[in-house]
Amino acid sequence: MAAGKRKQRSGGSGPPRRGRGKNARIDDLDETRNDDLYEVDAEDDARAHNRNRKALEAEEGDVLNEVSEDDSDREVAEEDDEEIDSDEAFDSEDEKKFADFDFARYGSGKGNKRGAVGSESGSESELDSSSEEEEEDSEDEQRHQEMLANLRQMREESERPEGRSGAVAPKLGDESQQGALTLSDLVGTWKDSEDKPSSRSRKLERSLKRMAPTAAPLPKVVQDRNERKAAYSITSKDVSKWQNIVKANREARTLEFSNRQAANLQVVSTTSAVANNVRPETDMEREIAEMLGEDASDAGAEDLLQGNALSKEEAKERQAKLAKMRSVLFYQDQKARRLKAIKSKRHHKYLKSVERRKIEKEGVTMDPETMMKEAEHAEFLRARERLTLKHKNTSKWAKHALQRGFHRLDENTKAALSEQNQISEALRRKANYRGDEGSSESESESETGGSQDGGAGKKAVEKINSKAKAEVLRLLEENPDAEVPKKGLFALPFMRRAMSKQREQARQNAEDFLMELEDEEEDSEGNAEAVGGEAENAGTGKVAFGGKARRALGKKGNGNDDEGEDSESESSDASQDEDEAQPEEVEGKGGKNGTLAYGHTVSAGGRSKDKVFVASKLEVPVGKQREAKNGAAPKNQGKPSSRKAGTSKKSNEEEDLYLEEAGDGPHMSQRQIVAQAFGAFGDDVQTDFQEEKMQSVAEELPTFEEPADLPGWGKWEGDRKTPKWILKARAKAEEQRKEAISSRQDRKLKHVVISEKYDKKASKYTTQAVPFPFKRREDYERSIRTPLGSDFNSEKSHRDLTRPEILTTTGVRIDPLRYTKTNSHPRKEGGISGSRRVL
Amino acid sequence: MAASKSQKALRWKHREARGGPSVPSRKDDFSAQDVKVKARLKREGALDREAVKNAAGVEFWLNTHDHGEIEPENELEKTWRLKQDEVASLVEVGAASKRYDLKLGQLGPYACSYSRDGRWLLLGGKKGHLAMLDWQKHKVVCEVQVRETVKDVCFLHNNVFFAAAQRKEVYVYDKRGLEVHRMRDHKDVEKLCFLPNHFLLSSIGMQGVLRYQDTSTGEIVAQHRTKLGPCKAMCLNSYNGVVLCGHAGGTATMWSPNMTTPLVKMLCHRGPVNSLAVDQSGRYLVTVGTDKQMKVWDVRTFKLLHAYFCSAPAKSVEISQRGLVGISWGSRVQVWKDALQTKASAPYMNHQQSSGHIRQIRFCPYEDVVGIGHEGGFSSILVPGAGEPNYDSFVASPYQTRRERREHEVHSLLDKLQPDTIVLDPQSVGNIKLDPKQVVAQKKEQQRAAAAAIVSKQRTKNESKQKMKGKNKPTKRHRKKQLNIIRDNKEAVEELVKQKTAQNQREVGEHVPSALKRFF
Repeated sequence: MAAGKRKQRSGGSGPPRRGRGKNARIDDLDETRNDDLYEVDAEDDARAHNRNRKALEAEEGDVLNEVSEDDSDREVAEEDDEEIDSDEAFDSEDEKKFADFDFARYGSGKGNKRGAVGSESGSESELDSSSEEEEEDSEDEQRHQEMLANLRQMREESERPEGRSGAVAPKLGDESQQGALTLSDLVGTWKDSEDKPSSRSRKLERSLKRMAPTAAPLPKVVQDRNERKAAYSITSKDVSKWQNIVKANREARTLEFSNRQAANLQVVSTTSAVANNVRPETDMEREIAEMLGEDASDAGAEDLLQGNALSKEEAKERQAKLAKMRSVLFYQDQKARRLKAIKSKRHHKYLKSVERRKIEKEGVTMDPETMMKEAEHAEFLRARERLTLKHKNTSKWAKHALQRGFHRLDENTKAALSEQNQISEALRRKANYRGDEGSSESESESETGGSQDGGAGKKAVEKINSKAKAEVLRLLEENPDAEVPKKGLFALPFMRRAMSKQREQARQNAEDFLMELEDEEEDSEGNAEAVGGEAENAGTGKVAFGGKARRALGKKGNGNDDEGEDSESESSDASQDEDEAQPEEVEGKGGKNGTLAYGHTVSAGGRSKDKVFVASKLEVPVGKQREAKNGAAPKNQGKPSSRKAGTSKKSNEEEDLYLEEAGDGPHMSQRQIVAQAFGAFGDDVQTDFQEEKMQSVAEELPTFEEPADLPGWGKWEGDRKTPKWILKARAKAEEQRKEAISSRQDRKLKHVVISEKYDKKASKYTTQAVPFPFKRREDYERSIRTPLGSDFNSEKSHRDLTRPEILTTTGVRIDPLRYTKTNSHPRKEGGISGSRRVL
Repeated sequence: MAASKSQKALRWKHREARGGPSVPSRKDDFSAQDVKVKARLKREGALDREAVKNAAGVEFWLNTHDHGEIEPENELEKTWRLKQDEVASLVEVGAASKRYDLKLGQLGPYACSYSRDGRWLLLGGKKGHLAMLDWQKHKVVCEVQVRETVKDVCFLHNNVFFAAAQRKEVYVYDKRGLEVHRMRDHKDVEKLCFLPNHFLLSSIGMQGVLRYQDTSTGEIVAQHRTKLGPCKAMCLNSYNGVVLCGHAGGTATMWSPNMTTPLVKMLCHRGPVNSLAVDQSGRYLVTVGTDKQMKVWDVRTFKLLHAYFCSAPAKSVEISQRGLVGISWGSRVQVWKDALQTKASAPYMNHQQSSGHIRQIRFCPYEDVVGIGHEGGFSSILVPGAGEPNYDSFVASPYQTRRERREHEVHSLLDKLQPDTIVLDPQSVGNIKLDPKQVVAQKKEQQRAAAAAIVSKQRTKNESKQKMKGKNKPTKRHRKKQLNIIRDNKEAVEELVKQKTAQNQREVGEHVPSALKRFF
């Protein structure tokens, strides 16, 4: 597989392998050497001059040996390349030197060997040429020079295109070549003179090469240095290709070495997956698998169907069971019908009482329906009692007894009367709190107030009715648009809409009321005797609505001052008794008091709407301001006394808790009371607190060095004056103290003391200095602020935040890093988690 | 159902919960930093932003239950007019059944407490009646008659144990109603409070001594004398574990077991403080006092935010999970909405309890219910929008099974925080906080003394040591001596050099180039 990859790579930017690539490597090697070696200048020049004269260069002797070696390599076919003896080129010494260097990695060890040889021979020839020069005589030299000149000339001529055939003398070369006639020079001319080098000449050339005197080796140090340099340059080049990868790996927050595929781990999440993956291995398993397979195919389904069918006995049994059930149901039904058919009131009463007792016994029943029923019944009883006042000692007998004077009565009568009172009290108590002892006083008060004229007769009722009728008629005739305010909040379109809606509703209610009044008149005429006492006492229950309704109507400017007081006072418990406001109570009862009756019927129309009415008026505490804005207000509010009554009512609902700022009128008085209560005391509290604060601050301040007031200390002049230095020190200490106080957190908060004592126990959870990699405090504190726990983060971000630096799969070998094309240019960041898969 | 908040708003919420924009934004300047640190900060910033986004997303998609609320149809309609009957008639049957009364006329008035998951209710009648209920199933878990005054009750870390402050001491009962512990250290206790993250039971009472007892180890962690007289008001700031007490002098104090003096002492009222409560986020403190005031404070700045005026001095105050404030006086209960951040003008709900005076009100966690302990027993009323609609089963699950409870107990014990971690600002843990100068000097002195002790010990040892061959060479002796001398003088010399350089710097001043400074 590796080989395959290599093949792929060879065309691209991968490491060079053979042929040209190898030459390029050696060139590089030379270039690097050129940087440092002094003797190379000459070679360079030579190469520059003779780039086009490769053949000649080959013969130019030892001086150019290296270069020629280089360039000739380009021409030499690969087969020829093999000819060089590897032992000769790469000896044991070299092996030692390059022990650390992995030639195999570059695909061609030969290139390196060649390079090494080249460098060696080059330097050898250098030395060689210099020693020869010394030996030569001057005479010889002259002759020799001449001959050389001739030779060179010959060669130049041969190179010229026109004079190819002619004999050419070699040209006088560079300074480095001067005076050194080599055999190759001679052979070169010979060779050049012919069109094609004969096999003989080639042979000769080769033999010449072999015959050349072996140059003395370079000094060991230089040799080693050269080798090291060569090795270094190659290695550094090779290593630097990893740079990107290493950098990316270093920057990555997490390195992922995990490899599930390699581990061949199967992630099994469900039992069915496990079951599917089971392969029968033993004989028994195979057997079981076979059986299971058969079952699953057809037998299983059949079995299931078979199970559906009933056996005879089973069917019979089932039928019997069903028959029994049916008969039982039938009997039950019959029984229920029979029981239902019983007309005895007593029996039903008994049943109900049993049920009620049961409920009472159980105490709190949580069944909402029964609770509702119970509440309804209680409500009914209460309403009846409130309407009839049956137990209010209103009977003939009781009245008669009371007329005689309470103190004159005998014990039994007294007891009976008080019992009556108790019963009435209990019955009239609010439905929800039937069992409780303490009922709201105001309620009962209002009740008694209402019942004072409870004995009013039919005439009175009629009178009231007619009065109410007149009122309603007046209302209906009234033009509703007359008092629509032109300005302010109530002039806003939505407010107008709401108001008109309300008016419409009120009108509807009034009409209903009128009709009802008429009906009632007829009724009362019809069965005046029958209703009797009930009719007399009727109407008290509707106090609540009376108040509201009047208020609502009053808002329209119809408020009757006479009624004002009355209704307002009644209305004081209106909101309290909102619970009472249930339609059942209301039905069919005439009012003994005009306003009350009036209210009741108005409210009978719709409860929620009434609420809106009331709400519009009871905008407390802001409401008052609104009323003031509203043009219709002044008349509505009636007398001051009635207004007061109204506000006293408010105390129940809104005044309970209101804005401190919004206070005026009664609120103010409340506040005044509090101020009075806490006035002197309150001041004390504040001053006390200030003293305490000063004391505790003084305790917490650090000690400042101050000269102690020791008698005679520092007072050389006697007691006449304190020495300057002491005064100075004291002033300084005072200044420091002031500074310390002003740097406290609570310096601006009069009502607060914030302790600045050193918390020794908690100090272990803080640090004194910014920890290492950070320089700034903010950066450090920021870096620890993000909570890492899964309580504060989603699952994903929790994993991202706490991912370990290195991820491995247990039991999987981690292969060494491989250099691949994709690897060589890694992306900058591995997503938000900063993890990087290394494979 | 649509989630109530937009994702963006949720993101802000989460960011704030992590102490503001905790991570550097893209605009931040890292130029002064080292390359590695810069990279790290950037990466962490990105991670944090992502985490906030994800957390907001999770909340958006998982917490889909919306909280209930009463909304008036027009502005003339008022929610506080709505009676409990009406509320009960409007809500579904299951919710309506959460409104009930327990008539326990003989042994009242009752103190009450809900467990943190809202499932269990603890009642403590003044005349000795203790009862634990599974209130939604209307099932009594246990019932004890202790024949002693019961002043307060509270659950410990789960519903298995609860503590009751009785006539003299505090007792711990298990859910069978058996007395498990008698805590003799807690004398004359009026109020109990349990810190679930720290496993601390704190108590305060007529002696005015605040005591912390670790319920996992049993040891008394701290006892602080408040020196502010008898105390009948206490509450817990669940954000940082600080316990708050209200005192007769109109002050409220904040306590940590670390410090014998209050961390903060505030003058809140002109008369005695009747009750106080801190909201879940730990930002708002509500106090009610005898001066008829209800005051809302910002706990971070200790400043007064709003003052409300009651028609009577409120006796009990409580803040619900969603920030509704409930107060009670006499037989009235009022619930205020949006009264913390803004100043509300009218209450949200109003309730008149007919059966006697109210002793305590408690919001039930994760339910829209307020429990009222009063003379006639216990009542539960409906307040839509009070409880958190979405619960986190890792924090508190109303449907916890036995196994889960046990698991949770172990986890919470493992996650237990040490009592000394209770500080005003829990975000400060791990941050840089410089010790005061005096403390630094003291520490230095201690270090010096310790080092000197070691040196002197070594010296005596050296002197008493039998000379071995080669150890007593003159050169070695000299070297040793030199070492000792240098060590002895080192600090003094360093100090001197420091002083000199400081003096030099002062004399030379700023105008002189640094290269020339040595000539001065």
